[in-house]
Amino acid sequence: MADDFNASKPIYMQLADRINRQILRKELAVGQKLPSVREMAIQSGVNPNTVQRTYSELERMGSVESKRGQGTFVTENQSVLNELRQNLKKEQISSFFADMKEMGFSAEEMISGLKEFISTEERGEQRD
Amino acid sequence: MNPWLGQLKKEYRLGKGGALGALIALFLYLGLGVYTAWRMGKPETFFAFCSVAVMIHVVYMAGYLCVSYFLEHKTMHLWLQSPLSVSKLLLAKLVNGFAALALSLFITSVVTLIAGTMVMDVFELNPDMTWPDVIYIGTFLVIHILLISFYIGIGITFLWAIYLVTTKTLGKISGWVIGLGVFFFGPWILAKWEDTKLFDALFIWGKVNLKYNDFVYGIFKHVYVGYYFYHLLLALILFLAASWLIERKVEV
Amino acid sequence: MIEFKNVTKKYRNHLALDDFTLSLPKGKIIGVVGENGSGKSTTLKLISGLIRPSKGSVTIEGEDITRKVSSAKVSYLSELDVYYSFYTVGETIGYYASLYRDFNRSKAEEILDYMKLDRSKKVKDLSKGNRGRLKIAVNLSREVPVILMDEPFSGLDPMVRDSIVKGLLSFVDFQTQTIIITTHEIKEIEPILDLVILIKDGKVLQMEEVEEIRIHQNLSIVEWMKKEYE
Repeated sequence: MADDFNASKPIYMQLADRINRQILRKELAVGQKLPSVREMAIQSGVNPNTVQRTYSELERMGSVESKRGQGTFVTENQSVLNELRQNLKKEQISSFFADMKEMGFSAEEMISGLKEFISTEERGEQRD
Repeated sequence: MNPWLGQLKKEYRLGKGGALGALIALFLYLGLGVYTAWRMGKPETFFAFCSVAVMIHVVYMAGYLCVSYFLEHKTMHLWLQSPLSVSKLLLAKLVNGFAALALSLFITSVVTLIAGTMVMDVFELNPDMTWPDVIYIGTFLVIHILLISFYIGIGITFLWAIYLVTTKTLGKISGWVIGLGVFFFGPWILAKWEDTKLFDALFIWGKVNLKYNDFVYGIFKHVYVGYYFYHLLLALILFLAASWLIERKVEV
Repeated sequence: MIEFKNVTKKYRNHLALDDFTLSLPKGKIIGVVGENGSGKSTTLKLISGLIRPSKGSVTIEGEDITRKVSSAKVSYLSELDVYYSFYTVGETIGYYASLYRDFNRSKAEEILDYMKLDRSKKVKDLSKGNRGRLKIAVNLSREVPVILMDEPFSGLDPMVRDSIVKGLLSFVDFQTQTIIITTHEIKEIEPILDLVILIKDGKVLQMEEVEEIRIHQNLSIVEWMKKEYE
């Protein structure tokens, strides 16, 4: 539980990331109710105030909506979810790109390397 | 449930072992008395054993409380965390000790009564003696043993408070020295004070003649109500002082 | 809600707190950290009313702390591993339920179930871990504004620590209760703290929001503590 978090990075952001990924993977369905603040705190072993902050942050990002007196729900607004998906993709790619560039790889090398990696990965998955 | 009743129950559980142990010791002792009387072929020896057993009850409360206070040392932080005032906490111990004393003394008195009137026939030894006399003397003795025992118990409580305060603030050795000092000099100072004219003027009043002039070889011819009042007052002062000291000065 | 004003606490041969000033807010989970002998336990004991300041004042909701004031507002878990050994688990709960009017009996029963404690077992026969759990059950069952825990994890294995942290999150009412924990096992409680107070040589060195330390300094509490101590 507690060990799952990086102790030197803000936990509310780490938890928000985690929930966003669950939404994109459809582990949390569109319109589904999120656990209450206390339930989430117990599940993830973090401070309830932190969970509250995570929920506010998610709401600000648009991936969840809170309904008065009912709780917090995954948004049904598909365009917001698409945007979130695109944003996360962009974030990952930009950090990948920055790292690779730092190590001196050219754009072509990155693209060909990525293609090669993906094709071996997929072959591997088919074998399994 | 009332918090104090809860505390009373807790003290009952804490003191149960010691009280039972004392009761077993009493029975063993009386058994020894029966054995000795039988070996010597003198039934009155058993009565002597019983009389000692009755008298020893004056220190019963002291013993009970020493055990109770000693056991409480380990759990002082729990004891003092209670929402009850220290006087109520102490009272829960005193009430339990008194109940154990009363039970033990009752058993011993019944055995003594049987020993005195049936085993060793007191009426034969002293033809003037009647049943009402026996009841009168017995009641007088039992009441005074209860009172004195409780009184000594309060003295022990006060000493414990002194010990707790001094060991915490001055250290263990000083605590013992001061505790023992109070233990030995306290009664001495009180005895000096009770010898003064002022004391007599204040507390020697309300003379009550006892029914039998030759009662216990003439030692107790009369008593003074004022004298009882003085000891009641002293007990109350010691108890309140102990409560105050623990409430305000003891830290754990 | 709890204020320490220029508090000095002297014991016979050492100074435990030295001109200690601190103001603790309501409704937070507060960690008190620092090396051995820095004054953590003394701080909690002063709030519990078991000891009194040599100088200065400690108040709760504006009232000077005495044994009486504290017993109505504070539930204190001592670092000592002692309970009345003649009681069973159930009787221990019963005793505290009779003692405190604010004791929530049904909550205590829930915690016992959650902690899987056998009510009929004698306290003296419990394992160290289960004694730790029982202490928590008594501590958390009281509906008081302040819950103090002095080294709740010390000497307990990871399973027990985990159940204590989860129990805390499950059974504390965060709207109304403030929790103050002293501990050496900082990693254990790091994710559940709001505030951390660092004490050194009887003085408050720092008081920070835990998330702020992570956001602005990218440090874990242990790293932050090391940095501040130097």
